[in-house]
Amino acid sequence: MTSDAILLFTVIPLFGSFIALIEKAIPSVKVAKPIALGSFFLGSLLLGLLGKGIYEGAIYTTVVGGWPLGIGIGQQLDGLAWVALALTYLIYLPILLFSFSEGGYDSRFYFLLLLLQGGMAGIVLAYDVFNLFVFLEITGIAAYTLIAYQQKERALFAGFKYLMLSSLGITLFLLGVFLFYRETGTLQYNTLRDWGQTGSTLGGMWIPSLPLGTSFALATILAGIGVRTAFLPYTWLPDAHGFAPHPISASLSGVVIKVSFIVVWKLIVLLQLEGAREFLLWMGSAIALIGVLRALTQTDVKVLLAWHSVSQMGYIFAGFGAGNEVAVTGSLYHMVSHAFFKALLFLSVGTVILFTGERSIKKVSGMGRIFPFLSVLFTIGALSIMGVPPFVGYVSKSLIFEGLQDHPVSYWMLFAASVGTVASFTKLSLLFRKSPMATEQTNANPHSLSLHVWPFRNGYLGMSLLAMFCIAGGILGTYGIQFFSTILLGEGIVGSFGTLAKPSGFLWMRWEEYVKTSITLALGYGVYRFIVSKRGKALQEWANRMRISFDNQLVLLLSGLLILVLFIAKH
Amino acid sequence: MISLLLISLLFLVSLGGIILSKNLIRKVMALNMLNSAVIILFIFFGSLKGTHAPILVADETDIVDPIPQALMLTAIVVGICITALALAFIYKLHDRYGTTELSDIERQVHRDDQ
Repeated sequence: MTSDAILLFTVIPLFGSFIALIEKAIPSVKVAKPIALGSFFLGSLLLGLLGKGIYEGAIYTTVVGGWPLGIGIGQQLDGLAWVALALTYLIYLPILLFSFSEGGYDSRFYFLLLLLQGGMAGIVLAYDVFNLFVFLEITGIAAYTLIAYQQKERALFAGFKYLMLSSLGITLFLLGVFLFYRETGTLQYNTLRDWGQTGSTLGGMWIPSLPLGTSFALATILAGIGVRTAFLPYTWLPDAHGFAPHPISASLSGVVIKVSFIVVWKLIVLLQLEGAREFLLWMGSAIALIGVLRALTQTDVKVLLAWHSVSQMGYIFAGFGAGNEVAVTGSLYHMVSHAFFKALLFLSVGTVILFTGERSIKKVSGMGRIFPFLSVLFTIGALSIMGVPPFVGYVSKSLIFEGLQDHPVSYWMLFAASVGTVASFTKLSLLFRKSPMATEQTNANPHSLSLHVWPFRNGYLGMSLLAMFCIAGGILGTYGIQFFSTILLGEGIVGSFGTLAKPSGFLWMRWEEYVKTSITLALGYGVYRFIVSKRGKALQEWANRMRISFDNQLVLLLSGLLILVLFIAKH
Repeated sequence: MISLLLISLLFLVSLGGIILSKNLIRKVMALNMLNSAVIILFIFFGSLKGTHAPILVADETDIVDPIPQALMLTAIVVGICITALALAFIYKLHDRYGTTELSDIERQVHRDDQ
C-alpha cells in the first residue's frame, strides 16, 4: 500500500495543475495560488513520510491499476529518485514565494509550473523507457512555454531553440528505444540492465547487424536525454536560462537540468556503461572550463549566471564520470548544492533586475547601499559557488576534488574552472559594490527603490530559505556526506576518508584546504584584475565575436552523439 | 529491404532539412518528418510478427505486438503538440522580428547584444 503512494508525486501536481486552470475559466475563483502551495505541502509531507524507509535502503515499486510489471505503467522510488524529488520540492517553494511577490503571473503560469513539477516527478519515478519519454515531453513542453511566458523577444527565440534542439534529441532517443525494443521486446529498466550486461548484438530480425549497433542504440538514448542536461557546451542553455522569467531561471538551472541527469545516471549505472562514464569525465572537465570562460566575457548578468550553470554541471559530470565512491557522492552533493546556490543567485540578481530594469553589469552597480539584505543573500550564494567554507559549495566541491585525485588532468581543469568562477563572481559582485567598470551610473532614486522592499517580503522569504539551505548544507556537511553516501552506496563513507571530515559533528578542515582555498581566491582575484584591465577587455570583445549559430548547435549535437558512440564502443 | 531503405532515406533527408534549411518553418516541418520516419520504422518492424489485431478475444493467438503501436500513438500525439507549439513560437517570433529566416533573427539578436 505504501508503494502505491508514490504515484501521488505525479498525480498531485498534474491534478493540481488542472484545478489551477479553473481560475482561467472563472476568474473570480482564486484557486491557482492556493493549489500551487497546497501541492507543495502535500508532496513534501509524503516525501518526508517515505524518507526513513528510503534511508534504510527500501525501494518502492508500483504498477498503476494492478497490472503485472511490464504491461502496466511502472513507477519506482529509490534513493536517487528520492533525493531528486526532495530537491525539486526544496527549490519549488522559494520559486513560488518569489513568483507571488513578483506578480504579473496569472493562473496559466501556475498551471505550467505544476505541470513542470509533475513532469519532473514522472521522469525520476519512471520505471520504463515509454513513461520516461512521455514525462520528458511533459516537462519539456512546460519548460519551453514557461521560458517564453512573458513573450519577450529574446525569451521567445531562446524557448524556440530549446524546443528544436530537445525535440531533435527526443527523436534520437526514440530511435534508440526502437533499437532497444527490437532486441529485447520490453522497455523496462531491469531488462535494459540484463541487455547491457550480456552485451548481445543486434540481429535476430532480418536487418544485418551493424558493427556499432549496440553502442549506437545506447548512445542515442543517452545523447537524446543529454541535450536536456547539456553534456556539450550548447548555447541554448545560457539563452533559455538567462532570458526566462526569474523564478523559472532558478527552477531550470536548479532542478530541471538535474532531473534529466538523474535519468542518465540511472541508465549508466544499470547498463554499466564505463565508456559513457569516461565520456562524462572528459566532457565534464571540458565544459566546466568552457562555461566559465564564456561567463567571464558576459555583461548580461543572468546570461553570466547561466554560463556558470554549464560550468557547474561540468563538475557534476566529472564527479560522476570519475566513478569512485567519493567522487560520486560529491557529484550528487554538488547537484543539491548547485541547486541551492544557483537558485539563490538567480533570484537575488533577478530582484536587482526587477527593481532597476537593467540587465547589464555596465549599467547597474553599488546596489549594496540600497539593498543591504539582498547583498548579504547574494554574497552567501556567491561564496557558495566559489567553494568558500563554510558554505555548501565548499563541501561538494572538496568531495569532487578529493575523488579526482587519480585523474590529474581533470583535476587541474576543474581547478582552473574554480579560479575562473572566483574571478567571474568578483566581477558580478559589482552589482552590489562600487564599480570601476560601470560606464554610467543608475539614475534611479535610492529612496524610491528601497520602498519596494516590504511588498517584496515573500520573495525575500524565499531567498532567505535558500540562503539557509546554503549555510546548513555547509556547516552540517558531515551529516550531508553521510546521508548522500548512504543513499547511493548503502553505507556512509565519512569514516573511510577521515582526512576531509570527522565522522561526527561539524565539518573540520585540514590546513591544506585553507591554503588551497586561499590560493584559488588569490588567483581568481588576479584573473578578475586582468579582466577589468584594458587588455582584458579587448580579449573579451574578441571572444564575444565568436558565436555558435543555431545550425552549428544541431551539428554539435550530432557530432557529440558520434563521440559518445565511439566512447561506448571502446569498452 | 526496400522499406528500410526508404525509411532511412526519409530520416536522412529530414535530418538534412533540419540542419540546412534557412527558414524556421521548414526546420519545424523537417523535424516533423524526422519524427514520422522514426514512427514508421517502429510501426513497420512492430507489424512483422503476428497477423491479427491485438484485441484480446479468447481464441486469438497470433496477435501483433501492441506495445510499438501504443508507444507510437503516443509519439504521434506528442509530435503534433510539439509541431503546433513550435509553429506558435514562430508566429510570435515573426511578430517581434518581422521575419522567419533564421539568419535574419540571429543578426537582430546579435545587434541587440551590442
